[in-house]
Amino acid sequence: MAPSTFLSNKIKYNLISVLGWEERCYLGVMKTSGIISVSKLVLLVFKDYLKYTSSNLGRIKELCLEKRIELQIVELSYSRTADAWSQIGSIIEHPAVKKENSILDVSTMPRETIWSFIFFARKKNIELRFIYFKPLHYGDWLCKEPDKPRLLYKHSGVAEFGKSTALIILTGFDYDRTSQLVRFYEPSLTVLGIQKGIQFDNQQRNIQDQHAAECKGQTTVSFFEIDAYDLRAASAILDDQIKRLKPDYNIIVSSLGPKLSAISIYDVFLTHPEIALTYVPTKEYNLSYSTGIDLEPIIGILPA
Amino acid sequence: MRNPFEFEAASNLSDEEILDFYIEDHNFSRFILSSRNIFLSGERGTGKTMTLLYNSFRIEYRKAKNLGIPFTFEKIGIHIPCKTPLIYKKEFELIADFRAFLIGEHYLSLYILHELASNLQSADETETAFENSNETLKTEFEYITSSKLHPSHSFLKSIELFVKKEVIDTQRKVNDQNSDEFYYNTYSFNSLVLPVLRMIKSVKLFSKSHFLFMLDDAHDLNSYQIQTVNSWIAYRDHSDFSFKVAITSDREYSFTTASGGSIIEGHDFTKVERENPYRSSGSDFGKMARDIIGRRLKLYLGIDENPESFFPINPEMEEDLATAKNITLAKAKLKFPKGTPKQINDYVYKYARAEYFRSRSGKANLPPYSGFDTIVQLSTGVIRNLLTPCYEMFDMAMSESGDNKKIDHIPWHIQSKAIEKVSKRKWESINSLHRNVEGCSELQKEYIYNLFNNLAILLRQRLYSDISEPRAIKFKISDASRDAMRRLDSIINIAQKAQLLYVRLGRDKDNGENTLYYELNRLLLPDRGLDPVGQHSTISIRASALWNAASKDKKIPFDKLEVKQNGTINIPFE
Repeated sequence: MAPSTFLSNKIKYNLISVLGWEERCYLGVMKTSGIISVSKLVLLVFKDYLKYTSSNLGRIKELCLEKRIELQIVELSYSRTADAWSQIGSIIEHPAVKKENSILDVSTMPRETIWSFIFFARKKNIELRFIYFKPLHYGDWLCKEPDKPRLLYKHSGVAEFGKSTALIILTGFDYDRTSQLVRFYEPSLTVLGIQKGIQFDNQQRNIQDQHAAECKGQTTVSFFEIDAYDLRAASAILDDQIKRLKPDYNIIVSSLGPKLSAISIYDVFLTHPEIALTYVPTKEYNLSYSTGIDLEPIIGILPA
Repeated sequence: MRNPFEFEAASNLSDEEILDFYIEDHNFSRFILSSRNIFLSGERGTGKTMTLLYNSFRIEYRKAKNLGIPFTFEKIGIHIPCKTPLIYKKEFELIADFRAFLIGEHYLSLYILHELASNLQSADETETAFENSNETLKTEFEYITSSKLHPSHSFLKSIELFVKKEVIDTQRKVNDQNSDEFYYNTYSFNSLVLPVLRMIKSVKLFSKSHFLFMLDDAHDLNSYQIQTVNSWIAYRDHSDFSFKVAITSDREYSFTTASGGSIIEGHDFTKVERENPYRSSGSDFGKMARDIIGRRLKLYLGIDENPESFFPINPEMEEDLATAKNITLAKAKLKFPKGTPKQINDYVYKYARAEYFRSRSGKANLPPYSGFDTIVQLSTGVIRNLLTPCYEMFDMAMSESGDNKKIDHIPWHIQSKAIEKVSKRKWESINSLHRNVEGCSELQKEYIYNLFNNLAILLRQRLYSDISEPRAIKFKISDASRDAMRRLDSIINIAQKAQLLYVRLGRDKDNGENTLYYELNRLLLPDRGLDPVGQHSTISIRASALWNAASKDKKIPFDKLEVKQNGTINIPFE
């Protein structure tokens, strides 16, 4: 029986993953190869982070040998953004990546990398599957040493003269990130999408008032609630927000919350290509940001 | 009740609010409204945007209307904020340099033309002025650009629509997933803005107009656009237009041009610093601060009193300060039995406040910081720093008295509490620099803390020592050519970005050379029990001593014997 309505046990899949330092990265490859038949693992290795990720690389190499999975390592430089963008394009453009045979493990993949994959997959007119494993626990902070926020190539929207800027942030546990985005873009309006639910101490760690306090005196703030784990509902809520704001604002959207919110954002971007997608490149991450892996993955098809 | 001290970004204020809030500084207005190219530099919160907006055509015109006087149309300031999604686009990184230049200039030229056309239309006189020229100018424009303008609108309106459409078409093309092609139909300042400017000047109402293109936050432009703007600035003929470019600092903006040359201060442009050196309540900034607070009290609370009454000083502190002054006066008379009044006054000026701080018991809490003058001194000459403690005080006063009770003054105990809170928060902000200041590493964050902590220790040692200038809080860096300065530079840059440190250019008293003066954000001082009221004096510290303080957490050497008679103290490298 197929492990999910989106996957088939008759297909040998290319699994595309980013080498991370979290346990989830290695465990994700292991679990996925137990759920479906993986013939090839395309592993993106950001050279900038090798000091953190090399131990997982060794484990993944051993796993691939043991499971007879062909391993293709693609080395990228996170700081050389334009090169990384082209390399992601090349991965998708490779003839081996065909309609329905490739699956992205988005669990530890940077949001901008997910968006870039979706872009090139759509360009080639193929559908990418995705698999997402939640961790068991999150650490107390995610990242430090951020660089300037950036708009994603080809997703910088269509800004109109005469409109003010609205920034939609799907918030996460890190209040500093909210503050950084607001300081950088100086939007007239900031709309904070607050994640619902009690998972991972969400209600203690993602507090609406605290995010609002970060914006105090810099921008007008409004809120909406969202559940990023329900992709369809999240897209619908975002779509409503964007429709409401679009006549008056140039909109920039950022995902700082659950990884899956990046997929909903892309879904909405396809309906509203006028919006810009932004992300914050970061140099340092918390090595113990997450621990463990949830045994029940979320599987789906990326927006096509 | 709205907190009257809310700091709202100028770009989010309505025209009326700008007119209500802005306290005109004629020194700046004179520069902004001149026909010279001007660079206006100042960190965030120093009022650059407000200054540009206040002198922009939109506001100047409204000001004239409100006063019932005719607007002359001689100086027309077009405000062009660069913090927009259009400017933040990065697709230029995917194409070759030459094309990146073209697309960057194309966006900027369309943007400038849009702001020009839409702003001019806001004047009542414009429609009539163009009545007989609309069709001729439209034909001329269509001929030059080989484009079609909207047939049923005026010249300016159809130009506005044209650039709106052009910018949308360009972005769609650039972002098209199936197109790696370049957008070939690009415009430049020369091919688009200048011809339109000449057409506008052919209309009698604007024939004598000088256009001021006010590029706000120009450090946010990409490197190609910065070089393009500099090339425009290098353009010699400034009879019809000039640029007013607001930037945070030279560190964030390069002065090179597209052709590889550079523009030079004094020759191509004049530089104006928006951060005022703050010396006393009688200084330009001191007067402006009084006006800013006074106007907000009147607008929001209907209070027509002076700010000193709204922010009264703690009577005990006032009394203790008076006692310290008397003690110092007595000491001065002993020291200079035949002293001139100037000698006596100078001595009291130098030592009276130090005497107050020294006379406080070692076990006493922090001094009860309060009073409007203290608040102004804490601002370090930056408007945002002026409003921050006031906002906190008002918030606390509201919580204490209940939301609906009228607040007619801020009790001194609340002032002290708010100042302590704001100061503590400022120190705490250093802990998260590596999480929210771009380019700051964790190590640099630690260095900044060490540096500031050691500077605070030095200031405290000086305040409590019997030296010539105990309250000096500004410093300059000697031996700046050393390797230590190069390493120090990156952390100074981050501290500046985080507004923990202010750097100002001034003339050195000793040798007349231009020198950089550094000053901690004075909001940091109360948490360490220091005096925010500085004095006319500078401490000279070696770059190597500062670097050791930052990187090795070594105390900055302080040797009382090194004190010179002129008040400058040389702290030797160990």
